Amino acid sequence: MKSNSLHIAATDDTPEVNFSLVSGKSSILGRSLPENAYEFYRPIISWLNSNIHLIKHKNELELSFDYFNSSSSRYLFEMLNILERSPNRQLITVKWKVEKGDELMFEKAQELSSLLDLNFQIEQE
Amino acid sequence: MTTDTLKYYFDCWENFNSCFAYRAPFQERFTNAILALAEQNRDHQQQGLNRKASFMLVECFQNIIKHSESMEINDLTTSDGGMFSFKFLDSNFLINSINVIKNSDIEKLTAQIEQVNALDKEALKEHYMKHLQNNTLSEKGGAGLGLIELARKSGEKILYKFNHIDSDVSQFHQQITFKKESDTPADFTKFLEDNDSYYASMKDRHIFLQYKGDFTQKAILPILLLTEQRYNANLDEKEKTKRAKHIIIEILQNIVRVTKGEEEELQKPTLILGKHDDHLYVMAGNVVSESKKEILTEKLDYLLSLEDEELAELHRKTIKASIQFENKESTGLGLIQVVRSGIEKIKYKFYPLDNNKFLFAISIKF
Repeated sequence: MKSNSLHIAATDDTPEVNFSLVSGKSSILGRSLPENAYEFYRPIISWLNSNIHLIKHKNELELSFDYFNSSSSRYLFEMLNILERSPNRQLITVKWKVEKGDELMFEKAQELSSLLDLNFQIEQE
Repeated sequence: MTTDTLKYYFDCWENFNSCFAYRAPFQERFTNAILALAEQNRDHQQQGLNRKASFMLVECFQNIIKHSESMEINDLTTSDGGMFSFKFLDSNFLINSINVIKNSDIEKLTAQIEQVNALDKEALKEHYMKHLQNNTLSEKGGAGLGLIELARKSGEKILYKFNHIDSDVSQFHQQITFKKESDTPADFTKFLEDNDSYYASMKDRHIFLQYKGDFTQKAILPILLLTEQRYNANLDEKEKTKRAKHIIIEILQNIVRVTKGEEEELQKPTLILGKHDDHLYVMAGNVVSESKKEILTEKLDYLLSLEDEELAELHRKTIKASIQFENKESTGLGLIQVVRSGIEKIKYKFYPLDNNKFLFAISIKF
């Protein structure tokens, strides 16, 4: 039986990933600079595609990155794109937390959010 | 700093399989970073060298830390605090270090090194055991054991010299040599002599890190750690360093790797990091074929012809289009990121080498 939640622990160059679409609390936190972003993100994207129908109530995806490399941004966009295509996308909030003064991550968060029709909250704290 | 700086060092290092140099200030926590950088190198993985090389690196670096900690802060200016470097040369391994010591310590240190250098293998072992039993720790906690161990592991004389700075302090230069074939006639004393001009050239050019070697994923985090240390606590510098670190990741993961191929065996990629007048500089170079030169020139010239907003738009479009690529195909996002990153347009140049190859050099200012 497929699990309805996903947990991947952080490593030196990949973030901690938690998806729980039933409880409505998911997060991707840390740094994302894997050598092979495809290998890291493909199983997550596949899990998300298979489980996106589980979104029935309010869902929050928290994002917070120290760094992410350009190939990670591509897969991050792909994940967010799956959320955007969900028929229940109005139930989803993407809360992107940026360290105060981290203009680079702020710019990147703004750039990705501008490409998607999702409820984004970019918070500098 | 221009791409010519990179070409200058590329020529200097022509005979080294790989090399690394880092200018003071040093911190204890760099030990693992420097070790990781050396160990991920293929040159390090030669049988008979790896464990000894790792041991000698740690011992030498920690010796510098111990000596630095015993100095007054005023003695250790950031520009004159010293340098730590290693080189792989054919199958040989050299560690050069420069650190500031008190003139009052010179006599004792000289006597310790001379004593160790005068002993053969068996006598060194005996000397080591005697020291271990007597446990006569110096004020710095070293007891000279580190020196004895270095001499035992390297099997070669410890080369050294002192450069007088003023009436209180001097620079202590040390070279530890490990020869794969202990009876090889190769003479490496010139590297101890060259170290003066090498250190001076790094200072004059405001360079704090140089590395030529393999760039596996394991090289990235140590380089980021060694870069982080160069910024002050104010936000502006932190932001610049963050941008520079981000681009170092892109350069190491995209430019160095994308351009690698059959040329890789000719010369390994190089990375130079500098800081001057509150600006950080990242320079990277790699050997490429003529066909790769043409592809890169076309892409870079196009990206450099775009205004900031056009580049941002291209970046957004490329991300959007990227999900149509099912697999690992390169999307070009990394190169766009690099071109967008500096506070002024990036500089790049191709330098002709032998056999229709070129050194591709890129320089970015933050």
